[in-house]
Amino acid sequence: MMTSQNSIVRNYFNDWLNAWNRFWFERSDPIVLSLVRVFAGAMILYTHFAWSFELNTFFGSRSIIPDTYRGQLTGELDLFWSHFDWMPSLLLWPSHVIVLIVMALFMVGYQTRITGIATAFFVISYANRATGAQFGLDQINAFLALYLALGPSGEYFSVDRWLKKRAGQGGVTPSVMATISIRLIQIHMCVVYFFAGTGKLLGETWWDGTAIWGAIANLEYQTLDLTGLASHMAIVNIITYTTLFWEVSYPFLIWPRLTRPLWIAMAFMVHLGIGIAMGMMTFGLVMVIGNLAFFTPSFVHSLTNRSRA
Amino acid sequence: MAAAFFVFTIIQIQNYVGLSQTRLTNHLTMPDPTSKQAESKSWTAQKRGWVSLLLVVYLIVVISGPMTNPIATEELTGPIGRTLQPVHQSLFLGHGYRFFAPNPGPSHLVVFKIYDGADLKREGVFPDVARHWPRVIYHRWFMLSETLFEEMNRTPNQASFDETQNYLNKQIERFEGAGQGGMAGPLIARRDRLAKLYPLSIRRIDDLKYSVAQKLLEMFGGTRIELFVQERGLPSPADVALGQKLSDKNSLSQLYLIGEYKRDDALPPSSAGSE
Repeated sequence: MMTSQNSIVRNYFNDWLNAWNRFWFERSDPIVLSLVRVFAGAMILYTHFAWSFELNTFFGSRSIIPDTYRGQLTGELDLFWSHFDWMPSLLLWPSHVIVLIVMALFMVGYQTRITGIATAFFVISYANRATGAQFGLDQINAFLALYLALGPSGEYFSVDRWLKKRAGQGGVTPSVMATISIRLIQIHMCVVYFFAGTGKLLGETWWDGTAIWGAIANLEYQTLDLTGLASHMAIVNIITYTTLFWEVSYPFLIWPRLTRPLWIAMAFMVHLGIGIAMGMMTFGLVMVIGNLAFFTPSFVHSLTNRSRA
Repeated sequence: MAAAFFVFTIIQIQNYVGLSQTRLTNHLTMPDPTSKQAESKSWTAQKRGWVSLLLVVYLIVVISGPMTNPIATEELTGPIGRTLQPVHQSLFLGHGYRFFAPNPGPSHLVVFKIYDGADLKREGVFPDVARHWPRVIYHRWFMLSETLFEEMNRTPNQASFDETQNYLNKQIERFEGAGQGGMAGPLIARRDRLAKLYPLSIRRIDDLKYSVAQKLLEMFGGTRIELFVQERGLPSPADVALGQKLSDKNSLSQLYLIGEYKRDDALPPSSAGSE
């Protein structure tokens, strides 16, 4: 009797162990990671290129945000590092241009392992220095850069790949690191949606169905006038509840094969809607890019084959 | 634990529905068996074990960000968050991710008036959609105005701070008087932490206002600047249906003066007077 109970428990834990190993350590095709690299690389490049318009204002020696600001946030050990803290102000522009070149190289996949690590370094460095002026875009950019630097994100759609082909080197190898990197992006996206969703559950406007009105009626965000919906609040209610349900359920329903395409499609709609109507196209797009991690390698292959045909 | 549970749940869901990465790699380009770069063998159990440990620790780091920001428990998530703070800071991970939560709220503007002598030279506002371009830069200015407001709004004045400290002191005395020193411990830690952070908060806000003021003077000229914050409320659907525009001045609150500075003035002493 006891032996049988022990074996049930042992089998149960073996099942968990096998599932854990399959989840993290099964080798996979790095095409999805490479696809994320292209788009996240483009977004990272654009985000940092845009800083050029206000580089002196935010990163100059007399920045609008004091360099002591972030250290005073916690009063504890200050590891909000940034290369701007130890770089002479004369090098502000030259270094910025070098950073943009590194990010461009990462986007096109040249020396991807090196440019990937350098890109992650600079994304965090810029974001830390701009504490007080950063938002969700920087947070997503940073973790995408980290995970893309971790895995073989330059195996497809890259100059590295083209150079390898030209040198007659072999095909792409499935990799455990590709799996780990993609899993980290997927899980981090789930964490983001879980807390964004559950945070909304505390807000009464998400329950009375008017939260989306709060977004529509905010002039500072508005890029598309949807105030005509004031006379059609039932539509606002539906959008509010749909958004809330989708966001709260995302960490659970993004995984089943049946619901995954729907939840990804919703992500595209919600985030592009935010981008178009609330002028947050960069944030909307970076969330969409994060969702690309849930594409399957076969789907990405079929897309690329179709585009070639 | 929360992190491990979170991932286990995900794995279980994935297992249950039978979704596996390899099943979906029909078009996988097969590895060249001669390639030296090929990760031709699966990882050993030992390697998987060590990496699993790292992954669990890392996931705790990831989840502890939103578990401690903006709200944390005094006894559990707060101490964990503070312990992991160096990793959060180093990797830019300790965020709350509460986008548009709990409610999409009103926006906050910084209005500035720049004087040349006694003459008003320029009146402006940030964020300013007409001046701040491209849009992502507009959002930087928007976040800066929100940060200034938020900093002012959430930092109690000296009287409220003293009241909180007194309350904590009384509670600590009560517990210690009843021989419940263990219950007093977290309160002592909280009192001391607040006492340490409060002057820093005041200093931080003063530094930020001063820096913003000096930068605006540098950008637009002038000898003196006044900084204000202003809230733009959200009009109700009924108001809008009756014809109110989002840009209606009625949505704007009174200007609230937050600082007045002269060009190249020395940074004024902190209003908390601690440094």
